[in-house]
Amino acid sequence: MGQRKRDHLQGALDLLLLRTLNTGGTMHGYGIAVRIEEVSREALRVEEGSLYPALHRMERVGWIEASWGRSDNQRRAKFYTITSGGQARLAEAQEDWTRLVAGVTRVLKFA
Amino acid sequence: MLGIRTLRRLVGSLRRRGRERDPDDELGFHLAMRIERNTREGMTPDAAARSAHTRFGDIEEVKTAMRKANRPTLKQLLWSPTAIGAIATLLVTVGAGMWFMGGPPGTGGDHAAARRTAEALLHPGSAGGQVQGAVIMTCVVQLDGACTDIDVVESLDTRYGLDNQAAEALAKWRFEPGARHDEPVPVWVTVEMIFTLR
Repeated sequence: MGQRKRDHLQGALDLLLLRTLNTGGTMHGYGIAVRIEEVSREALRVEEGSLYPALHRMERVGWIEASWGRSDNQRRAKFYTITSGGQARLAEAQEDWTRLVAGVTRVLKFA
Repeated sequence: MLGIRTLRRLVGSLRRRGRERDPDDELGFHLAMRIERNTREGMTPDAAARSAHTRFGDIEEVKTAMRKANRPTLKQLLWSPTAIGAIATLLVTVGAGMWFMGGPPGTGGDHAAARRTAEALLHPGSAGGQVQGAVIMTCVVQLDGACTDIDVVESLDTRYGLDNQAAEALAKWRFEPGARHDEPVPVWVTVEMIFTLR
């Protein structure tokens, strides 16, 4: 897979994760994955192999914060919350995505 | 009675074990939740577990990717005040049987061992006389001065194996352990090995 394609896929995943945390509040990885599946009506499925490295990368760069707690069924779980830096990144990523979709739509319509 | 050094090592070891356990717990939680859901949807316990594991894929691969994602970038390392501990440069000049090596600053007087290591690992002409430049690596200097979690962040050569040789040499270095507020702590360091043809 080329670097540029990887970058686009990573950017799209970041966008989905940040958006989900921004609206869903504090969530664990499993909850985020299920939420994305449900909201997209199962059109999108976040692979676990991509989800957790992405969450840890975003935690490292400061877009999200993590803490350990107890889930509804009293299991030990790691919970993530978006930070103000993550919200700023989300705004940028949403703009980038909107521009990309608009560009592709125009090409599909008029090219 | 436990000495203070032994106690510190014990605490450090427990902390390290805690960090190593976290990915297992996080991924274990995910799998348990998926199995519960599968069971709720009517699968037998065996089928639910099998399906969850199949969907998850190779757990070790995911854990490796998580560890990699947790490592700071070179830029972060260079600007992080806690990572200033030691930026070491090892110069290796490769020529017709001639070697020069400057030891990394802050090492605990183990240059001779480092020199022997490099002589054993880096042979003149092993890069086909074609490659020169730098391999930049990061590692964690543990409390005993050993380097762990070695990662090549800027590759020089994979064809002739210089990256691997540099990492193997680094694994044998011994550093002066880092400290914060006079307390010994593991520190991230960057190490640049420069290969020059003569």
